[in-house]
Amino acid sequence: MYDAIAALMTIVFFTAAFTYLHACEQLRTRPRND
Amino acid sequence: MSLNGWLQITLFIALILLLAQPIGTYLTRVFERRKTFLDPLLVPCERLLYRLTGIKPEQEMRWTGYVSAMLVFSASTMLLTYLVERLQHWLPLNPQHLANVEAALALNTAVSFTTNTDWQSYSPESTMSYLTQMLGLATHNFWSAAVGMALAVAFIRGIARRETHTLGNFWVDLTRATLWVLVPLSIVLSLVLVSQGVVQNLRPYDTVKLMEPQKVTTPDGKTSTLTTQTIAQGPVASQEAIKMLGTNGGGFFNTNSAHPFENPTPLSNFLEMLAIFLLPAGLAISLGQMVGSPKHGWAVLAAMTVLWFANSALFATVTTDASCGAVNSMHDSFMPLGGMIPMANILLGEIVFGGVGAGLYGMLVFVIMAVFIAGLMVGRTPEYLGKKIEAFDVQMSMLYLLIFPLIILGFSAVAVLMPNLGLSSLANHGPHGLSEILYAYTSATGNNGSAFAGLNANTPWYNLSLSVAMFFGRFLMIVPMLAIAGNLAGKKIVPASAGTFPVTTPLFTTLLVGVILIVGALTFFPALSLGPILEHLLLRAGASF
Repeated sequence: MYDAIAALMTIVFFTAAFTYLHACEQLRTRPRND
Repeated sequence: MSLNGWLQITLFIALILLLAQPIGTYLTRVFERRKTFLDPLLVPCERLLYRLTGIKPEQEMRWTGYVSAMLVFSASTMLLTYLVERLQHWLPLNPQHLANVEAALALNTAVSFTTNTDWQSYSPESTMSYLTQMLGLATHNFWSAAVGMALAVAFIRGIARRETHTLGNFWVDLTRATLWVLVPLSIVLSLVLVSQGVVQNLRPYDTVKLMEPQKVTTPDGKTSTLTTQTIAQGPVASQEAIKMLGTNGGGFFNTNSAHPFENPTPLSNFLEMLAIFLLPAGLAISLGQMVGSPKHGWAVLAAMTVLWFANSALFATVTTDASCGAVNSMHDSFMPLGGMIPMANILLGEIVFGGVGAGLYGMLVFVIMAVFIAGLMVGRTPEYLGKKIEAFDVQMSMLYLLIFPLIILGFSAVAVLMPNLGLSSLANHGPHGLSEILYAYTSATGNNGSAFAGLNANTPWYNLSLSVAMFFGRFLMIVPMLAIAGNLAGKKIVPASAGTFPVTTPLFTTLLVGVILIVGALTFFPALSLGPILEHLLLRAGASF
């Protein structure tokens, strides 16, 4: 069972990291008023 | 502390400062792809590698591409380590016929070595085969250090470049860090360690007859007489060298560098300590050279040295008070405030020299905060080496600085509140128990890997939660850090004026040290006051834990 948990956690880890990367780039390139 | 101790500290830091310049100059040449004395040997190897893997070395990457390549590389190598651990019983180079590593522990170890943490919830000599040690773990000692160096160099390029959107090529930086820096230094240090008595072989463990049989009593009350002892062997020297040079720290044996086969003589001990600080110090000098302000590199190195020296002095005072001068010992056995010092070193963000690459880019985030605060003081838009520090840069710096305590304090709180998960494998209770838990999550999140001892972390809860802490403590901090670099690379250079805060002076070093101490103290003081500080006060009142 722990193999499945390990696989799931790894997928979650890297998905979170890529999502986070995308969110940071979105924040960087958003149009600004200032 | 004795005169001998002070002399050793002084000699140690003098040698580091002496070696920083040549090592830093060499690193600069390697990462700027300028000529080095190893080129005739290594350039053909490099070209062959690029041809085999289809890498185009001239192709530059934006920060998002750089981080994506690093994540793909980390995921692939993490999977390799996990599979080697899970299948080691059927793979070669397993003379002790060790079983496959249990899944939760295999995940924890794979994450641990991928993230340069090297936290070990197991006893290596009775858990990992020679193949796992070499192919699964030692390889990560090279790769994770090379990744750290590549990231630091990418950050430096972000500062140095102007009006561009690229930070270099991750694969080229990774290859050059490994081939030009880590492999040659490891070969030299391994041979020196072998000359001191560190073992290097692939044979089965030795069983020797004891000169004097020992009577032992097991926990269930049975008494038996031991007449033999098993002495573990293995390819230790080759792993020991990169363990230190790459600031990894994962021991070949359970007792790590306290084992005579890992660290047999005072000279090997000194050289191993030197190897830990060598590359982080050199990288600070490279920073100055690559951004065109060598004095700035020295100012950053000075901040690292001041923090290190202050901690050494404090450590000396505390250990003298505690009559405990040993360094290769379990932090659990220190007096409360003595145990707090190594923990505080990590809590400051692992920037007192820190990991290879990771220490420098962590420090540079603090530099941005220091420059920002200096700008606020004089009411000007802060500048750092001609780049204006704007809202996005400060947001990302704060994200970098806040993720760290969030993971440490969040997981420690959950562990403390869950008796069946967090407290069940704890050896000591009260404030000392909190220190053990807090240290484990601090060490994991800071990608340090040392253990306080006293906490059995080889349980499903600790293996899995520490995996999360190690992973997020590495990669969720790298993302905002390189986002800053990507953003800085696109900016114009503003000429220095009378209002520009110089980043090459003792005043800058003082401000930087102050910012680091204040951020560290304000963030973690409440937790430390419930752990080691409370334990110290209770100890004075006669209570021990």
